[in-house]
Amino acid sequence: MAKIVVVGAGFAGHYAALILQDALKGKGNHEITVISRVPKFTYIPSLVWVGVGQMRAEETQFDLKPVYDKLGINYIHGTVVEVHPDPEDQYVVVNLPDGQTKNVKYDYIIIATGPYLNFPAVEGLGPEKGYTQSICTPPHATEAASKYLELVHRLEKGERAKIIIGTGHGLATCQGAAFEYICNIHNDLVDRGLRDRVELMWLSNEPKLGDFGIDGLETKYRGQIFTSEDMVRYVFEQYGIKWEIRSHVRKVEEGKVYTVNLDGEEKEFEFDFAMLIPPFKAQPIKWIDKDGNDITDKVCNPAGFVKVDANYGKPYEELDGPDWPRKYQNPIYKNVFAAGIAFAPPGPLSKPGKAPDGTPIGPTPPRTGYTAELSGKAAALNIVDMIEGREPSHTASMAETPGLCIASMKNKILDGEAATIAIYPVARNRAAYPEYGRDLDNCAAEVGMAGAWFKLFLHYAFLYKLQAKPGWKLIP
Amino acid sequence: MSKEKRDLMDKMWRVRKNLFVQLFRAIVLGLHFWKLVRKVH
Ligand SMILES: Cc1cc2nc3c(=O)[nH]c(=O)nc-3n(C[C@H](O)[C@H](O)[C@H](O)COP(=O)(O)OP(=O)(O)OC[C@H]3O[C@@H](n4cnc5c(N)ncnc54)[C@H](O)[C@@H]3O)c2cc1C
Repeated sequence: MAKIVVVGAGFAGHYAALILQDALKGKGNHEITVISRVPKFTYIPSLVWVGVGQMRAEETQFDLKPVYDKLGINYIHGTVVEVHPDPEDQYVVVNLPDGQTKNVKYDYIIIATGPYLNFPAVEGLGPEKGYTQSICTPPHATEAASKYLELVHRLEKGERAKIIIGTGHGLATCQGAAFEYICNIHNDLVDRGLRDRVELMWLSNEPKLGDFGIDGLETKYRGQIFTSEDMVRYVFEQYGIKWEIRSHVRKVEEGKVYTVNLDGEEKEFEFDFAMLIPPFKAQPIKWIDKDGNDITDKVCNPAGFVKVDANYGKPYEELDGPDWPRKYQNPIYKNVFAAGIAFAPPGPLSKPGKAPDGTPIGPTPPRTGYTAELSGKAAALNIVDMIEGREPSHTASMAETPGLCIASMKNKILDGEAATIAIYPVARNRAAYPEYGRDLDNCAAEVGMAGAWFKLFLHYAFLYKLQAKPGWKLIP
Repeated sequence: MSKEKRDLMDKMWRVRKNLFVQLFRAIVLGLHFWKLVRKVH
């Protein structure tokens, strides 16, 4: 009998638990335990709509425990603070909501704890101790909506306003979510007849417009090569959105953002409402060896993300598809896997840069919901391989799997729009596709109402699938 | 952006809310997504 612990119940961890349960059904008395800090699953992509006040946070969530009870998976509501990975006595230390701690033993573990939102990296950033909003969690998105609707109220009385949306640090990721938010805000203001009272600005660390932290994308259409830069520039021109890119946010004060860009120019921008995505680091989990030494530096990268089977340490120029992890297995502790945002990438996908004062400016790589699920699935099936005495055989490298993204721009059935984006593969793989690092015949990007339908469909399809309702396995 | 590219973008933009065009695009893009999903599942 094997004890498998999954830490975190987001896209990676929750999906991994469902896959494990399904793959091990009827194959012995194995025990699957999910430990999660939050007792609900959140379909994070729809937080964009929560942040505009068009959806309630509860509509993006479901309770985890009933799903796990139905499937025979143990559930612990708690926060893992330590992992003790040495053989013989392998366990995690969990802080429970009532203040007690509990040790949970494992034979195999998947770390899928997602990002820690590192607002303290920039003075004045974030909704808790700063002046900017975030849409990264349900409470943040709900607060962003209430602040945005307060501003709408003032606009209705005839005031004018400046809104800034984008990234709040030179090394932030998740530009796609901020892009969706700025487009939804634009269209919401248009529908309310208030757009002409607002100056809307995109502020980001991307080296080029449309980079999205994945070094942009190219598509072929009628003999022309279109780039995501062409597309985003076109959309921003149509929407009347100004942009300021290649920028790091140095600090935020009430109503003012201070930036420095790759040319070393220091700038200030005033705002009445700002939503800036924070930089991510790993959740604070300590790795302790059998003698009580802290070995976090050995198991994780400097940001705390768990090292897996990637080639670490290569400069950006040399990094290629084969350097991206395939099996999500830790090289030191073979029964440790990491999936989703929790695994350490081998480097950035976008070109990194530095301001003349040395400030790093360049997106860190996103690991989207679909990538998170695929890595969680590979980790789960590799554990099944090991339980059954085989070598791990399941792979889901970002350099071999597609990125399927629908960037919402307006959420309406008969008047909506969204950018439908297919990238293959997500991480450029010049070993396989020498010219662009991607198979352009499989890449696509277009704006239209069809995308808005897909986006809404995905919201319901994922919430259905992840509650393991009848036929869930048919939804990929 | 070249004139040819801009013309194509303008065309995409004009039909972005045309119900018939979008129903057709939904089928084309849906099949494309499905093809990519089959590569990994
Ligand atoms: C606003 C927004 C919109 C987005 N839109 C899209 C989109 O349209 N498409 C897309 O593909 N991606 C999108 N993303 C990205 C996507 O949400 C992430 O890639 C995905 O959530 C990553 O999944 P994960 O499982 O790695 O982490 P998470 O989903 O963050 O899950 C982490 C889990 O770990 C738990 N946890 C954390 N620390 C601990 C601990 N110490 N102990 C126990 N449990 C812990 C958390 O409670 C949570 O359950 C969006 C992101 C944002 C913020």
